[in-house]
Amino acid sequence: MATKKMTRRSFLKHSATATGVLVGSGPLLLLPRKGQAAADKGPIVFCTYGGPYGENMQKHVIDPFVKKTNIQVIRTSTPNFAKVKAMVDIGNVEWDVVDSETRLFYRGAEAGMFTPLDWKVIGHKDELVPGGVEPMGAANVFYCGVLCWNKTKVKGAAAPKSWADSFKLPGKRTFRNEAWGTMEVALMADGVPKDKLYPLNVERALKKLSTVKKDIIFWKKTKMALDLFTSGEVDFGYLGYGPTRKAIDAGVPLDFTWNQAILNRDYLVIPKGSKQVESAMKFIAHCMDPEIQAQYSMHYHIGPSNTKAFDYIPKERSDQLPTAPEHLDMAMQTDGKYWAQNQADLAKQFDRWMIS
Amino acid sequence: MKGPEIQGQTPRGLLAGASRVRKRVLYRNPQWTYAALTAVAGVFLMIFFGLPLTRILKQAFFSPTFTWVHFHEIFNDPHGLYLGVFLTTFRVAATVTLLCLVLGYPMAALLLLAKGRLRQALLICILLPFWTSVLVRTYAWMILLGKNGLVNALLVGIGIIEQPVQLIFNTTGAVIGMTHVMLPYMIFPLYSVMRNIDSGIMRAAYNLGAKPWQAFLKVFLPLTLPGIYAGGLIVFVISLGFFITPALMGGQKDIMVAVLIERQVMETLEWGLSAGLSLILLVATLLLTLIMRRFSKVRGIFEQGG
Repeated sequence: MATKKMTRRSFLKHSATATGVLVGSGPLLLLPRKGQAAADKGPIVFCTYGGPYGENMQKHVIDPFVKKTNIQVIRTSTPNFAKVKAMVDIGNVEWDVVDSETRLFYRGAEAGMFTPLDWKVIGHKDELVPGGVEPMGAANVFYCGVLCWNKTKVKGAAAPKSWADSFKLPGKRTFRNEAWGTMEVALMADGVPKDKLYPLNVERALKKLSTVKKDIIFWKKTKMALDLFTSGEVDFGYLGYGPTRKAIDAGVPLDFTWNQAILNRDYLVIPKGSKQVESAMKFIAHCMDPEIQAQYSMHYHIGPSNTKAFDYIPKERSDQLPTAPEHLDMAMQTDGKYWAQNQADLAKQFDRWMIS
Repeated sequence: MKGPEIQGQTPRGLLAGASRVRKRVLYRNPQWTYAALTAVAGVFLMIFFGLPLTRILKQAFFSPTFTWVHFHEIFNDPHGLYLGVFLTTFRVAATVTLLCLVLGYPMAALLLLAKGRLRQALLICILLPFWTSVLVRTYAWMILLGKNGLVNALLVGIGIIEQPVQLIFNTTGAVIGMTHVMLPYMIFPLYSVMRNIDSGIMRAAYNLGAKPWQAFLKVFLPLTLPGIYAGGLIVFVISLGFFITPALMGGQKDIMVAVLIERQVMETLEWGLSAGLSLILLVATLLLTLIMRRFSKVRGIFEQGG
């Protein structure tokens, strides 16, 4: 059907037939059907990130699902919280499953923007990383930001083992140009233990950042952050683990530490008002499958949320993933709930500090 | 200037004369012609710009009942965050406009003088930044202006400076990046005005004994004023809404108002506050446009020789 070219005439013919069938089978539709309801069999629209990440999702998550269930999945990008809110508010929901960053997930869940998940359908409840099971969301991937440095600039013994070490180094450094993550980095650098960060002491964080303010170049896009390192504009700083690993594999002289890595997770959610709830639920269940998660983590440096996935991942690969048990112990996990409640205020305080 | 019959030897003069005759018929009532020409675009804008805009404005004042709370927050921020950001935005936009004029004026004049291949090459050079992704552009600027960039290497190499200077990731970087993108908006209005200046006028000035700089200052420059006003207005207004380039190439203090609006819409979901900021930006821009109109005849660039 999809490959067949549709002329205007054939379209008219088809729609005429369809109308006839619909009118004729009207009463039938009202009867309860066994298994899948007709209205719930259509393609689902999955909104996730683009680029290599999305391609990997397509190949190792979506394609096997389509093959298994025969439910079509249309992949689109990029998740946009404002759009979801607008869709739900207006009642015209185009996305059935959305990949949602943790703080936005909690915000949306609080605002009741998502459909509650049926964990009986989804399953794998006991296998997910703690915090991954929420009434309205299922964590599917973990990714992190790490302390990363240029090996030709920061050599040998100077290599930092923690954020605190890095604040003692001279030279230009880079952080993300927003409060998210940067506050945590500053507090850890000031000696706050990683499990005692929340609620954030903003004043203390900004005071610590002020000590190096003139040496900070803030990045807005991940791609630019990497460019800052490769062009020698900065010597060290906060960089997403994915780009770091990719750059190292490509021969860029970078090094990093898993210690005090800042771990974030994404949740899969179903926006309220989706017309494909049943299929969407099945898709989310599929995404929680340890073998499926192992597959995509084999091809993209992202941590599976299902701990069982590591049963299918060889050691040399799991050494490179953020949620491998030994890395999980060293990392700090951002508190999405805290951020959801305080983000607007934190952003303002950060901006005031920026322009002061 | 007399009618076309008298100076009608050159094809150019003939054409100019013919078009003048046609104009007299077509433009008997220019106001109506303008109105008719802009009607379709006007209706389009009303539906796809005007209506959404009123919705946005509604959000600035209603939440859900009438309130001043967003404007109160904007004007009474304890550290003057929003007013500071507005000030930065206007200052950067003004700097960019001025730089565009200084760089764009000679460029437009060069376009006027250049012929054939050279002019095509120049046009491509001017338009190229339009078609380049902002990330690629930023990266290119980083190669030029960075700590280990070409400019710094050159300056250190010939001994003008000892240490590399910071040319990017501060206000300088934001202004350079924005000027680069905005230049075409300045060059083309200027060029279109310059092209319609009768070259005979300049010759007449020389004939009457004007030195080149006098001819330029007293004849050419005043005639290009409509282009300067039009280009300046376009560059300034667009610069006010700039967001990605200053965010990527600017420094810590270069937060433009569009950056705040984007974040409030996309991330913190403070739609009322962002609507308030948008409204203030819009009103400020409109006021400025009106003031500019009083000083200039922006309409002038559409009325060649009229």
